[in-house]
Formats: sequence, C-alpha cells, structure tokens
Amino acid sequence: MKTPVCVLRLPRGPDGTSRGFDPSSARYQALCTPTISASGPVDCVDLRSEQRARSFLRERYLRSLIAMVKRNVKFTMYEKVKVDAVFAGSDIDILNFQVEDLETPLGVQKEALIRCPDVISYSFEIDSSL
Amino acid sequence: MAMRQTPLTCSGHTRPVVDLAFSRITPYGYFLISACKDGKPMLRQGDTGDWIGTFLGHKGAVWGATLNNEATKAATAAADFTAKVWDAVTGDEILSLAHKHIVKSVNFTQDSNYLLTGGHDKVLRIYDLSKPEAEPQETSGHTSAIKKALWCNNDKQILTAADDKTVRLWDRSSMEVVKTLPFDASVSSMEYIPDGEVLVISYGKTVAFYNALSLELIKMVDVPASVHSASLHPEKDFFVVGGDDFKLYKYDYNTKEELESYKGHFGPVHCVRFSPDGELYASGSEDGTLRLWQTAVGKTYGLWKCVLPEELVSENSDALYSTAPEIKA
Repeated sequence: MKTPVCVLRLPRGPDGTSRGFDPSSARYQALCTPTISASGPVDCVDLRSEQRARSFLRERYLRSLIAMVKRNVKFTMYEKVKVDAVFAGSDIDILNFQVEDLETPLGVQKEALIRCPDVISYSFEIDSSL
Repeated sequence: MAMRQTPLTCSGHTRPVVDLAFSRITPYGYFLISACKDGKPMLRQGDTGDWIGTFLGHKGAVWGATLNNEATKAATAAADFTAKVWDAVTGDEILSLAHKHIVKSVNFTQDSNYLLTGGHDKVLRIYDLSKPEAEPQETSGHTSAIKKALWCNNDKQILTAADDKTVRLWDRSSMEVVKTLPFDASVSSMEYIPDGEVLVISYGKTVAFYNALSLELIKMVDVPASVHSASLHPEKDFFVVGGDDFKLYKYDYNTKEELESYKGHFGPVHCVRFSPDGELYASGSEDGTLRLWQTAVGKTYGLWKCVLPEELVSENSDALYSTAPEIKA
C-alpha cells in the first residue's frame, strides 16, 4: 500500500475581500517605483512631498464618497447610458458601487451594483450647508 | 518505498479553467497564470500554487492567458472581443486591445515589446506595445478560427493552429506562410519549446512532436483518451497529457512508454503545462480547479515534503499532513 506524499499545507486561495497583488510583498516593493523616477540618487524630499500629495488626494476622494452616501448621483456610462441613483457605498477597491433606487428604462431598481469600470463620470450636489 | 502522488488543488475559479501558462524563473521564483470562463484570470506563485491576485476587467470568458518571461506583464484573450495587457506586479490593466470577435490566444515576444493575438475573426495581429495607439499589423490566411498563435525561432517566425485543421508557420518579416501542416482532426493544443526547437501538438487521441523550424515529424504517441492538452518536460525526459477522461497521463518521451496515470480532477482536463524547472506540472480542468502534480513523486519541493515513515508517527510531525489525493476544492 503506497503512502501518499505529505504536504505542508494546501495552496492559499483568494482572500475573498480584495483582488490581491499585496503591496507589501517583496516583489511589489522591488519592482514598483513611485511615479517620480530616480535618474540619480533617490530624492527623499520629492518622494515625501509626492506621498503627501497622494495621501491628501486619496483622503479627499474617500471623503467625497462618504459625502455621497444617501445622495442622488447622476452616472454617465458607456453605451450612452445615463442613470440616476441614490449612492449607498463602495467596495474597498472602488470596483463596485452599491446604489439604491436606480432609475433604468425598465423601471426603478430598488438595490443594484454598478461596476465602476463601466462608469465614465458621475456627479452629485454637495449640500451647501456643509 | 514507493509514494503515492498528492496533487495540490488550487481553488478560486468558479468556472472551467481553459488555459494556463508559466513564466520563466525570475529572482522571485516563477509564476502561473490561469484563464477561466468566469472572466477572472488569476496569478499564482508557480511552485506552491498560492494565489497572488486576480486580474479584474474582462467582461466575458477568458480563453487564453500568458505571462512575459519576467512575469512583470500578463496578457489575456477573452470572449468580450478584447485582449488585455496587465501589470503582473500591481494587477492593473495597462491596455485593452479591441478585436472584431472572440480572442483565443495571446503571446509576448522574448523582449515583451510585441504581442501576438489570434481568435475567431481568423486574423493574426501583432501589436507594438511601445506604440499602443498605433494600429496592429494584421494578416489573414487561416480559413477558420485561430486557436493558438505563438512566436518561435527567436521571434523571427510565428506558429498558428486553427479550427481549419492546419498548423501554419509564418515568417515574421514577410508575414507569408512558410509551411502548412494539415491534420485529419482539429488540433487541440500546441506547445513550443524554444530550447531544442520542439513543437508539441495534440489532436484526436494523438500527441505528436515536430521540429519547430522544419515542421518535420519527430515522433507521435497514441494515448487512451481524447487529448485536450500535452506538455513536454524541459529536459525532454517526460511528457504529460490531459484529456476527456479526467486523468493525467505521464509518458517517457524517449521510449513512448506510459509511466503513470493520475485521477483527481472531476472533469475533463483542458490544459496541462510543465513548470520551467520541470519539477511539477499544472493542470486546469472543467471542474474549475488547477492542480499541481510532482514530476518526481515524494521529493521535497514547494509544499510537498519528503517524510520517512518513522517521522509520520513522531511528536514532531504536527505541521505535516498526510492527505488523500482527492482534496475537494
């Protein structure tokens, strides 16, 4: 009777929450350079200010998503689609937007997921009292 | 004592896995990309099968996937009429190349500067990746859908296999057909081994090996079931075959003798490929899983551990699992 070969563990599968490509992995760190490419020695000051700008822009974008919750949003999408909906939230990779009361030619969809790659632009009104 | 093969099952896909490809060996190991009908190709660490990331963006079944040598770029061919180029480190989509029909095959040149595509519109296209806005070079010739298009002979020539039951060798500079190989049945798979210029072609219940430059037959082997895919070991000691009967077959390339057959998949095996170091081979199946199989069963490699019988019952064996071959996904 043959003994089956032992394994240390099973291969890891997708984590179910993100699309992967861990930025903290050795390969990512080594092969992904920031947008300021260094022709000479890396300029720490430039890197720091770029990082600061990135953080500022990202925080502002995330705050815009928070501000959008429960508001009417107009989506302009491919194939000449323009729809209105009430924004409910986004997933962590900004790949899908959850919306409510999506107005479609087939009627109003109570709950729906909009794929972000299908969206060209979207707009909403910020409450002027904020 | 003889050991029984323990395949490693890589889960994650939700539909049949129809194509897979390994990169070359890089400073970070080697990598594996799998094409799936669920539209979400995945990148995995080649020696362990650990998932690294999923390329999101295709809106249809992905029929073909490939990595460049350094595994820094990936390319995929899909039923949404596009071929896409991806950054294989970040997972970002770099380019989307619109086609007129389902795209089946994508292949990078050695320097990753050009991408070859082929599909249901029967046209071969060459894209210059440094000029993505430019129109691709287009060539017609096949009379039905192209299944596979590969660069060969140091990117000076191109090999294509199509549903018109021919394999054609094209000269890259003139884009003329240099040679045509007719078959009685549709070619189910084609693999090109640059080292030694060997072409592995499967059709019906046959695996045939050709000289890739002259398209002269080297040898052919009949196998028990309809073959979907075959792969030759880098050192040309073995070749593996997967097909309709859900099994993997391992043959001695020199003697053409069937050495082993393995059950494990729950559906037809669509693709099989040896890793660049030949230590394992990966298979993709209709059952939605990828399985990794050892070439030398029992050897310590990747997640497999060679364990002497005494060690299995000792106190120190907590981290080791003696698992049955049929591990559910």
